[in-house]
Formats: sequence, structure tokens, C-alpha cells
Amino acid sequence: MKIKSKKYVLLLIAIALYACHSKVENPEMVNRQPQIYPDYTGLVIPPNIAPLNFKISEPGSEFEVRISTINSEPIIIHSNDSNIKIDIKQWHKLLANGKGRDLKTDVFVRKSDGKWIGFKTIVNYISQDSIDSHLAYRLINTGYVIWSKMGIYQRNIENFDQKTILENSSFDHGSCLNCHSFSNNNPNSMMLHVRAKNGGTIINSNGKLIKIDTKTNSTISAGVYPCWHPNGKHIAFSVNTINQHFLNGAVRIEVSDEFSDIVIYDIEKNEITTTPELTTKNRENLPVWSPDGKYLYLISAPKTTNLQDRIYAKYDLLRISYDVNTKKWGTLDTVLSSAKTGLSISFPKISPDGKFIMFCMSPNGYFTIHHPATDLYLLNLSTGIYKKMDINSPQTDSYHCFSSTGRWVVFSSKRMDGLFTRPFFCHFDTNGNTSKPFVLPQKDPEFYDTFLKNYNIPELITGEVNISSAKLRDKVLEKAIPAKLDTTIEYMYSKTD
Amino acid sequence: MIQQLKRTANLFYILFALIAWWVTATYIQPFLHYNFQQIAFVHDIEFFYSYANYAGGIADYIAVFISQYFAFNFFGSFLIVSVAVVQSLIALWILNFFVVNSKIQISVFCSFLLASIVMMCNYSFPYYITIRLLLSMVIAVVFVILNNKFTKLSVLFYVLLICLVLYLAGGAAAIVFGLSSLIIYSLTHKIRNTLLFSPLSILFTAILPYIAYKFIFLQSLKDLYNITIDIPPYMYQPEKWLYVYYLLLPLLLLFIILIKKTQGKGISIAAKEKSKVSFRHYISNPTFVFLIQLVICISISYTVFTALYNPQKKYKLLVEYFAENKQWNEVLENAYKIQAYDYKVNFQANRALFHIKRLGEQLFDYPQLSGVNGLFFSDNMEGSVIMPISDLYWDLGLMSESQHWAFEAQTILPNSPRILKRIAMIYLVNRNYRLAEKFLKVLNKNSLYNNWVTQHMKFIKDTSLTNSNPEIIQKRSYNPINTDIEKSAFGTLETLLQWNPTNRMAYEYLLSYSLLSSNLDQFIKYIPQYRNFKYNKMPRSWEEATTLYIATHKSLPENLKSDLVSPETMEQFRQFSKIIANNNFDFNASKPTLQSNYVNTYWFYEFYLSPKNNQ
Repeated sequence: MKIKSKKYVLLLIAIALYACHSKVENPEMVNRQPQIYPDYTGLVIPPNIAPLNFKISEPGSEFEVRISTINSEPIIIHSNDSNIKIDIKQWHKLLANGKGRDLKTDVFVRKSDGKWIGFKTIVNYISQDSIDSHLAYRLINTGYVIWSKMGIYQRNIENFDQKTILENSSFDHGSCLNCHSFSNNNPNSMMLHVRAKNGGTIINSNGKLIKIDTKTNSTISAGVYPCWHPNGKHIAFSVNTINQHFLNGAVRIEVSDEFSDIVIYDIEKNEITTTPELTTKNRENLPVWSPDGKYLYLISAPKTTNLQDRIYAKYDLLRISYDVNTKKWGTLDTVLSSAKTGLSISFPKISPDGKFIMFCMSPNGYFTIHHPATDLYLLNLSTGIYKKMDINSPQTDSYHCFSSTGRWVVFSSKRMDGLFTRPFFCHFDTNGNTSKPFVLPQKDPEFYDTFLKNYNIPELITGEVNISSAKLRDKVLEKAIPAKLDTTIEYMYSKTD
Repeated sequence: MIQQLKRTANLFYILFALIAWWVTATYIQPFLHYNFQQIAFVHDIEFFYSYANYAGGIADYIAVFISQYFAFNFFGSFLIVSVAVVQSLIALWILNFFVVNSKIQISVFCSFLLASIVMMCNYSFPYYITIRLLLSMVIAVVFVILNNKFTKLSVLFYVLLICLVLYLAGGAAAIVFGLSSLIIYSLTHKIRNTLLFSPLSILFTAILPYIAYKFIFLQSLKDLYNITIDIPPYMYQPEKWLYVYYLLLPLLLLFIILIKKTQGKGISIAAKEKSKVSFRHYISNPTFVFLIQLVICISISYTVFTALYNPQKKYKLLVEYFAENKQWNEVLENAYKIQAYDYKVNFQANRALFHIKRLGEQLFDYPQLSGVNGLFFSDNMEGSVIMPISDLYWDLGLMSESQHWAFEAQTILPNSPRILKRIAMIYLVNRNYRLAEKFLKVLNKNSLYNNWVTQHMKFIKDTSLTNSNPEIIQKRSYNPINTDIEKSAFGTLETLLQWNPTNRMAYEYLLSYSLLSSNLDQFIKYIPQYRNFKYNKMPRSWEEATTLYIATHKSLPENLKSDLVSPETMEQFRQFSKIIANNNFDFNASKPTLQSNYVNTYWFYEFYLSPKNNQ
């Protein structure tokens, strides 16, 4: 008897709660779209992206959102909270059925007078092109000199799961982790550097895990900025002497190199090679392979004579052919000069189809993330024409990465607040046209409001990194194997030259 | 009789707890822990997750929750003593569980109370150490109960509970639990079973953190075995007392074994040793034993506390605390109490002197043994100076550098209210209201700062209000915009002064920098500007420096008036010179005489203290 009466009470409460939700009837329509945060309007979205949860930045006491595509049951969310969290199963079902169609979002808000208003429909387009399922990045604080806990993480961008690839707290807070890199977006071919304590380069080459010391007696430093050869057996590294300088203008910090060269590391032979053309007095930097693996693209700035030159130099975009099998180098060509662009070129990345180079340009130097004026540019390799991309913002738009198919791009942007770097995605079609960028979706729409870490080096990967954090940690704690220097190298410029 | 003694003991427990509260609130002063460690509890699920994913994290989370209230001295002291009393009561419960009518209750209570309280004498002491041990003790009690009720399942409970302790309280607490439970087991099981269980238990206890390290937790091996976690800013260096504190429970249990064995043999001993009747009489007299323990406990407590309590260290923290709260007279009051020279105190003393408008007058009242590093910390990157550097640049009005160092500090202490407040204020000065709001929102997750956030959120809602805030107005006028700043401290001060010639701090620091770097030419270049600041009289150290300049250059530059230095100061310098001359210009021989009369003068600094001239 008691149980029965309890059931009735619960039923009554449920009915009362339901009754509290007023239905959206005859809403007054407003001739504008609702303000929502983050800005998820007018986008092209991947069919496998996580729900684009958002906050309705319109005053109201109740909210209703209807998300729909043609021929599909709409998702209806009725809430007293302006934070709209979409059911992940329903969302993926809707997107799967709506590929190549518009995704419509209708927002209704109940005002303080009890009346509902409706807004113009938000229309996004569901692309046929899926995006790589995971995004790898480092999360770091805004400190420049000091570090504490830091880690490299992977986020499943089809949902909201973030997993640790490696954290320094698992071995030593005094160690710094950086420069994670993947071969052809392959999570099983990954490398990262450990600096300071337990220093070395960790390479996972399809399950074979090694720790290498890439510093040789003849190179300026250990390998710094990496790029995997498409064969997954070689990594091009820059070797640099890097310093930071603090300023008080719009650019608060400049990072520059006194020296830099480029070397190639052969994973199987544990050998470092280079060519006199890439070890000149000039500052060769940021190597990147062409998708066919025949060319190495790089940036280069003149040698430095004083601090002013060093910081305010502009970098050109160059390339050189190289046959990894015969170790035969070609001659260095200029692809795009800073004299032509008037700006300094940095972080070149080639689209997987080999048609385009996407790169950053800023007034000086190569370390673009601290330059608010940094923008993304696109060079058509067949026509030689370059253009400023539509995806830029007034704030820093910098480090970028193509998806394995080349149809999506992720890049770092400070557009949300001018301070913190967040990963933004956009569609990239075969002609190099891009769609409006959108920020990595989070479960909590207000996540970015209070998240005080930066997403550093966002890299799209086709799946989850399968090597465990514990294995990586154990490898970090091992002694690094010194890399050998190719004995056939005849000359290498050194600091003392 | 025994009942009466019990009641007396209970009264003494309360009395001891009250004394502990008074000592903690009066001498230890937990608000200094709060301030020094920048304790921050964030009401955020992510904050909880960040603790829940490592061994000991739950205890650490509880510890941060409790220790945030150390901000309130008396309540914080109450919490510290309450936790210590709980530990003591657990120890008593365990004792009473195994020993009927034990006579050492007061000693046990005092030992645990004392150990828990004296740990707080070290202001770097991370409170999670106490909470980790507390959890280990609580679970030991659970084991005692389960072991007593389900004797046959003791081993199973041991395995389950030690794993639980490892997760909740970390490896060291698990080892404490492991050792304790082994002794508890031996107290309740036959010797044969104990002999079988002991090696297995010891082995399992020893390797459990390693197993967890290898297969479960992404922590360093050190962190899984040590009592403390090796995490920046690496403030706490474990002391020997810490190991005593952690071994108290196993030691108590060993003592219980001893008592039980002695009790067992008690009759036969009594029968054999008739000659010792009078001694046994006293020993078996509960009142006598109680009083003896009372005397010993009080003596030990006093000795241990005075050995561990270091007022000199406390003064240094008080200097930091008062500097943060802009109580400049208190900064100086405590700075002068510190006997051994400390460059961080020197730094804060100089700031305080500026703020009470006595920098020029009293610069050398504090021994400036670090030279210019006492103004700028230029050669130091120690973690504890990072935020004071930000404070200094805030004072000077150079927002970029204040922000730079605040962000460096935030890397180490991400939730520190002091740092978050500073960053929010910098963005308000810089009119970047969006970022100011972001940092205010983060700070608002700390319930102790809701009022501060509310007060400052009004600047976001109505940005024009910033134009009526004197501090913001001043910083805006001092902050040079789009001017590249040189890295040298002197160059920075010059730029600030060029940007705003009314920046009095930049001016006084610039002159002080010149004096401390023994650069009189630089000093003389800038001294004419002193008239802009409307000083009542030329500050003493500047007069002294000018005198020395006249003495060494035989004249003053044309743009300087000859009446810059008072006749009294000229006369003092003549006397100073005379003493050196009387000692045949032997500076070492002159030093004792000069030290007694001129130790707080620029002249004495220049000849005897300046790091530049006395390397």
C-alpha cells in the first residue's frame, strides 16, 4: 500500500514538473538569428563531429531548441537553462541521416512577460566529408619561462572524451613535453620531445618505441621542430638556438633563433644526415615534406648579426629535393620570398593532395603565436598565387594541420579573447575554399570562459594513439640512445664558423 | 577511582585541545600557511577530477577544502586542532579496543595531538599529509572492527582496505595502514597465522605502490612511495619529525603488544619480585601514573614546540603577508625583527619604505647587502619571488611585466587568488574587460572571493566606473603603451619616467638603483628632477650621495644648486672622512668606529656593503 502511494506521489511530481514547462505556442518571430555562444552559425560541419553544445545569449526564463534536417525527426531540447546540451546519440543519428544537407536550428526564448519569441533559423551544412576522429594537443599555461604540470592529450572529437597521451607529472614535473608530431595523421607513428629532466625524443614507429638523443657534436642542438616523411621512417628536424625577449607593445614576447639548421633523422639507422645547403649561416627552419616525400620545404632567414636583426628578420619559403633512399639532395629553390609578400613566412603545411601550401605570415620572425597580426595564407602550388585566407580574425591565427583526407583543417586561434589559443576547424575543398571556422565543441558551452590553458599544436589524427601513457612514461625514464651522425657528411656550418 | 580518573583525563583532553587551539591561533597562525601556500579550493567538477585521478588525490582534495579556511585564523586553528583531536581519539579508541583500562591514554592522546600540531610549525607543510594519515587511521579502525567481527576474512579485508587507502591517501599512508593492520592481525590471530601472514603482508604492502605505478596511476614512483608529492613550487622539504608522525600509529600498536605481553606476565613477575613492592605500588597507582604522564607530556610538548617553532621564519612570512595587504608599517616592523639578512625581506622593506614615503630618507636603514637585487631580484628565479616581482611592476605601473610575472606565477599556482586578482586588475587597467571578466569568473569559483569578484564585476558591467578608481587611473597613466621595454631594470625605470615624469616610484627606484649600483654619475644625472616631486627636504641618502659626489668630483654639475646638501650632512661626511684619515686610510681599521655611527648611511654602504665594491 505504501509503495503504491509512493508511486503516485512520484507520478504527481513528474506531472507537476512537466506542467511547469510551457509549450512554445504562437511565438512572436524576430527577424534576426539568436545570439549563441560559441558561434555555431553558418558553418559547414563534419558528419561525425561531437554535438555543438551552445549557450543562448538571449535573456529569458525558458528556452527551446529544435534541431532538424529534412526527413529526420528533430531533436527538441526544452530547458530552463540557457546552456543547451544536445543528446549525443540523437545528434549523431541526425547528422548521419543529414549528410550533404542543411542542419537547421530553431531557437525559442520565453521572455519575462511569459511570451515566447522565435528567431531566424540558424542554418549549418552537414558535409559529406568526415573529419579525423581525434585531435592531439598540448595543454599549457600562459607562462613563458616557467612550467609546471603539462601534458599532451588526445580528444575524441566525435564525443567529449579527452585522454592523456603523456603528462610530465607521471615522471617528473621538471620535465617539459613538446613538439608532438604524427606521420600522415597516423596515431601509431608519433614522436614527442622531452626537455630538461629525462630529456630525449620519444618515437613510436608503429608500435616500436624508442628514445633518442638527436644532439650530435656537429649539430647546433637536439632536433626541435619535426616533420615526418610520408614513408614514416624519416623525420626532418630543425636544430635551433632559441631565446625569448619580452616587450611591452601589442607583441608581448618575441621568440627568435640565433642559429638554426635542418637535419634528417633516419629512424631505422638511428642516423642524422644533412646537406651544406641546409646548414648555412642563414637560419633554416620548420621543415615540412611534400606529400610524395620528394621535396623538403622549409623557411629561411638571413644570418643574424645583432638582436634587432635577429628578432625582426623575415623568413622566405624554400624547398629542396631529397631522395631518402639514395640520400641525394637537389638544389635549394625559393618558393615564395618575404621580399614579395612583405611579411615573414612560417609554419608551411602542404595539403595531402599536394596542391596547396597553407602557411602563416606575420610582420617578423617565425614564432607566430605571440603575434596578433599573424594570419593564415594559402599558396596554390600550380599557379604560384597566394592569398590571405577567409578564415582569419583580428587576433592571432596560427599553427594549422590538415586532416588525413585534406578536407578539414584545424588551426590555432586566439580570436575568442586575444589571449588563449583554441583549436578551430574549417572545411577545405579541392579548390582551396574554406568554410567559416568553429571552435572545438565542449560538453559545457561555457567551458572556454574559465579554461585557463592553451591548446598548443593541434594535430588531427585518424584514431586514438594506441600506445599507453604508462609505456610512454617508462620509455621517458630510460636513457636516450645517441643518434649517429652520417659519416658521409662533408661539411656542416657550426656556431664557431 | 578509575572512573574519576577517566573523567579527569577527559577534562585534560579538552584542556589540551583548547591549549592547542590557543597555541595554533596565537603562535603558528594558519593564515600564514594560507597566504604562503596560496591555498585555493575551486568549486568546479574539473577541479575534483584533477584530484580524483591519482593515488592520494581524494585526501588532497579534502585537505584543500579544509585548509582554504586557514584564511580565517581562529576558525582555521579550530579545524587544525579538530583534525588533530580526531587522530588522537582514533589512537585512543584503538588503544582501548585492545587494552582494558590502559594507563597510558593521556600520553597517547598528547602524542598524536602534539605531532599533528607541530607539523604546522613549518609554513611549507602541505596539509594533505595530515589528511592522508587521518584517512589511513580511519580505515585502520574499520579494519579493527571487521577483523574482530569476521576473523576468517581478515586477509581479504586487509587487501581491500589497503587498496582503498592507497587510492584515497597515497602510498605512504598505505604503508602505514599495512604495518598497522599487520600488527592488528597479530594481536587477534594465533602466532602460526601471524607468521604466515607477516611476510606476505610486508611484501604486499611494499610492492603495492609499485604495482599501482606500473598498471594504474600515471604518477612517478617517488610520488607513490613518498609522504609528499614532488610538485612545484617544491616548497616543502620533509623533516625527520614527519616520519615520526607517520610511524606513530604502528608504534602505538607495537606498544599495545608490549603492554599485552607485560599484562600476561604481570602476575608471575609480581610473585617473583617481592622486593620491588614499593615501586610496583607506585606503578600500579593510576593517579601517580597519570600525573607522571601529565608532567612528561607537558614537558615534551613544550620542548618539541619550542624546538620546531621558528619565529624568525614567521616574521619573514609576515613581511610577505603585510606586503601583499599593503600594510607597509607592519612590513618594516617585522623586517627589522629578522636577525639574519634575507634578500626577499630586503626587497619588501624597500617597497615598504617607498610606500611610506621614506625610501630616500631611510634606504640604508635596512642593510642593502644584495645591492640592486634588493630592488629588482634581477639575478634570481626562485619560485617564491615570482609574484613579488609582479607586485613590484604593478607598483611601478608597468603592466606588461607585471602580467608576465603573474602568468609565470599562475603556471605554478593556477588557482591562487592573489595571482588571479592581479591578472584581473591588469586587464582592467589595460581596458581588456573581456579578459578581466574571464579571470574574475575563474576567481568566483573560489567561494572566499565572491565578494571581491562582485565588487570588481561592476567595472565590467559599467566600464566607465574604472575611470573613477584611483588605483586604475594611476596605473593607466604610468603604463607606457606600445613602447618596447629594455630588459635591464635601469632602462625600464628610465622608460617609465620618460613616459610619465610624475611616476614618483619610478623616480625613487631609479635613484635608489643608481646608489645601490654605486653609479654616482647616473645618480647626479637624475637628481635635479627631485624638485618635481615637491619633497619637503632632500632625502638623507640622496644628500649623502651628493656629498660623496662633490668629494670625488670636487664640484657639482652646473645645473645643480650648491645648497643641495645641508651643512649638517657636509659636517657628518667630514667626520666620516676624518675617521678614515685618522686610521691612515685603512678601511678595515676604520670599520668598527664607522659601523657604530654611520652604518645606515650611503657612505658606509659604498665603502663596506656594496656588492659591487666589496666582491
